[in-house]
Amino acid sequence: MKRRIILIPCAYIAWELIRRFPQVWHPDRVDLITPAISSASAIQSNRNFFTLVAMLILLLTLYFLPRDDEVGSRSPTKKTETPLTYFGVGLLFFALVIAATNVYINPWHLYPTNWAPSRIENSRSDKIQLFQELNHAPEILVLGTSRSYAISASQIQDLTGMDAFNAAVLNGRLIDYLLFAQYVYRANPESPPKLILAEVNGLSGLDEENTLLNTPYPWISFLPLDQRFEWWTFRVKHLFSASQLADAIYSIRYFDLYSGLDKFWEEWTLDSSGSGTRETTPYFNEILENVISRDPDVSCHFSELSPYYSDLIRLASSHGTRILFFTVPYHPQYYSEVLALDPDYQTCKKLIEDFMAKQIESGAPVTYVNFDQLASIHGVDTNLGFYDHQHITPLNSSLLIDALAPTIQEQLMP
Amino acid sequence: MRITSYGFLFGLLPLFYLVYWYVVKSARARTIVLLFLSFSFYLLAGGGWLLLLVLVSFLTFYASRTRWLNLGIILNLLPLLLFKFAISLGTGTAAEILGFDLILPLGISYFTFKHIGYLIDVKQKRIAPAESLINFLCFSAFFAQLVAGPISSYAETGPELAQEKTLLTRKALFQAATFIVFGLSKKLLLADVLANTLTADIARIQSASILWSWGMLLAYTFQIYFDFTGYTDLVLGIALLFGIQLPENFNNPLGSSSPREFWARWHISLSFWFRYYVYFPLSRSLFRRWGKENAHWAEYLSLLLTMFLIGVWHDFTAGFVIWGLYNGLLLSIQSWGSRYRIGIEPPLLKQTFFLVSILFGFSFLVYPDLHSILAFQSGLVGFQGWGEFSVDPVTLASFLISGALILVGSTEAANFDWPKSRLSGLLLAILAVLCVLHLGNDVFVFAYARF
Repeated sequence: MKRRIILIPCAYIAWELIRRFPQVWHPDRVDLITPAISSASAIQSNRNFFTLVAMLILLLTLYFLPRDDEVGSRSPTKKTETPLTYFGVGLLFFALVIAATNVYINPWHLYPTNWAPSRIENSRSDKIQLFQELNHAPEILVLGTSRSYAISASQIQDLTGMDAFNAAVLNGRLIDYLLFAQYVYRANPESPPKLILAEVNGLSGLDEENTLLNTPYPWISFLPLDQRFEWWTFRVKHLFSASQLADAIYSIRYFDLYSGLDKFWEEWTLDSSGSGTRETTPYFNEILENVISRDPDVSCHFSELSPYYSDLIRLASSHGTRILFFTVPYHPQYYSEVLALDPDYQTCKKLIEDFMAKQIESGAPVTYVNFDQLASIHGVDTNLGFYDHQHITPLNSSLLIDALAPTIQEQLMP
Repeated sequence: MRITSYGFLFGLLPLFYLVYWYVVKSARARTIVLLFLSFSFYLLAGGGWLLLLVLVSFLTFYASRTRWLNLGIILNLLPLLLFKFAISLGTGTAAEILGFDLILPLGISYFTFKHIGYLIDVKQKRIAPAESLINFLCFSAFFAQLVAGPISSYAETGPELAQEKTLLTRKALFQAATFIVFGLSKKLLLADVLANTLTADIARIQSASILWSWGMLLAYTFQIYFDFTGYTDLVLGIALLFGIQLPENFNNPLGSSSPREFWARWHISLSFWFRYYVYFPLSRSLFRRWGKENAHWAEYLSLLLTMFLIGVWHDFTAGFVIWGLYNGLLLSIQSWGSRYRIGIEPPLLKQTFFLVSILFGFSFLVYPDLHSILAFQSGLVGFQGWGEFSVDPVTLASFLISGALILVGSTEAANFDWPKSRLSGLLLAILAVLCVLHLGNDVFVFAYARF
């Protein structure tokens, strides 16, 4: 009789699961699958669904397990083999189903499979694919983050007469620069790039989690041994990740909708030379005001990044490539109201300048141009020039290349 | 590395299980494997003080074979007291004095208690000194109980480590699996869900209404309990995989109907240790000094001092000290009531009254500072109105499950016989897989690992 108390939470959880099911599986809930903003809550909602299922199973297991003091009164003892076999086979079966789903649907692009359209895209894999499709080895390579995404490789090509490729990646970190550069050198050992245009950003740290999550398979041989091991264990661990499974379920359920979605994060569209564009937002002023009103503190990570910059310079110079480091401009309002007042940013700027000066002094094939203030490229401060406070549109990117043009040409002179 | 990490559960543990049972055959070789595993685990779990563990284990082993047993006890207590005291000064102050950040060596309380218990047992000739150093080191550092107990005596665990073992039967293997799956379920599905709620809501102390305060207090109590009993089931199951039976640490304490019963069911190995090595000698000594006519005063004082020490052992903070004394007071009141045959009837009222008083005791631990504790308690007694307490459905489900398990008395894996039907075997398998899915979430550190 007392045991039946367990049925009370059982009933509540069952009711809650029934109530939630349409939220997880309803075709009209398109808002749940649109990228970025609403997805986090949707995935959390799915994870909670798994937690409730697990709680229900826990209760049922407890309900059906004989208690020590009841053993004598229950059904005669059966052989241990049968329930043990069910446990072992069940464990293997369910574990395999989950792992197979995560690998086959591959919603986070962690595995080499590519069966279903994914909500989360990996711009590194996309850029590698575009790079592999190039007819010529690029002579100029752009390395950077999403802030350099809109830089037009065609414009650089027109300016210099050399093939260029924009290898900037979303949420890019310095380790991505190094990995992409190594990948390019290995892919074209006979014709390495003559010039690398590398965006300098002292405000984004190393972010190992990001590296583990986003580094695509073709790059892992360039990772240090310990990170390579972590890269593999990360993928093994995520065979059984509830969040990835939640994403996989969305991918299966909304297959058609996913296929129809624009392929790139925040609706970026890439051309064949790797340059990305996205639609300008009509809410530009609100976005800008919102960012500034939060008065975000920035942190300088340049000290931890400088060894990687040195590695990149060494790598380039060993292949006879020159590097032109540049800074992408911020929106002037954001710059004057946040960055100009932030001592960390000013320190960072000084650290970068000192580092670059030291490199140039030591004879490294390096040049540095700082364009963090929009005025230095005569840029446009409306939504025609910016997507938000720090991402420039093709228009400002084009003005940035114009401003860089003399230095680029100078670097390419024999 | 944590005991709930993928690396341990799917890497180190299966590897050593295979080596332990299938590569080496003799009891001595198995003990060495277990010792190696324990040291590896200690280092990987962040145990930078492995040398300290080895050193005090050596000292204890050799002290037990000489007449320097008391010195052995002092040398064991010294590091524990020093670390606890230094950390109670605040990490900033300790770091200033020492020049580096001080953290409590992993499991220091637990191996110290084991050593002291062992030395007292040898001194009082209850057991003979350990014969093998390897065996003793293994007893000291046994990885399953190193982080947060249970504290076993050498008389219990020593012989188990030394004896020849035969391969685990299917039943034993299944029992181990049942313990591990239940342990993980309680930790991940109950304790961690409640910990999330506490982390998100605990700061709302300024608007502590009566409903909110009792809701938070219940969440805190359930969270601590299911975290620790989940950990215990997990380590009991892991030890079973190596053919070692560790003592139980809980037996549905929140279903108790008196303070004495509660302390016989809550953190059993610690309560037993303090009862056996602190309370009994203390009360005997006071009894001898004060005589038979004052025996009851000797008992009350011993209870208060023992519980005070339990509180201080947890932490040198005001909250823990008051919590210890409060529980000493509850035990003394019960003792006083028994003396004059005063009790509460009917049993349901007694149980409710007791539960409320023990829950109130936990209110001293919810916040680290006395000011917040008092504000919280003013909410508990209703000084800030009724208010409301709302939780999300998952938290509500964990509340309901916790309550149901306590009422039914199904809180510990040891309460159950091994699964005998296909259905329960299958359900256990599904539960195991769902627990593994939850391992990917941010798993909270076991609450008792910090003591």
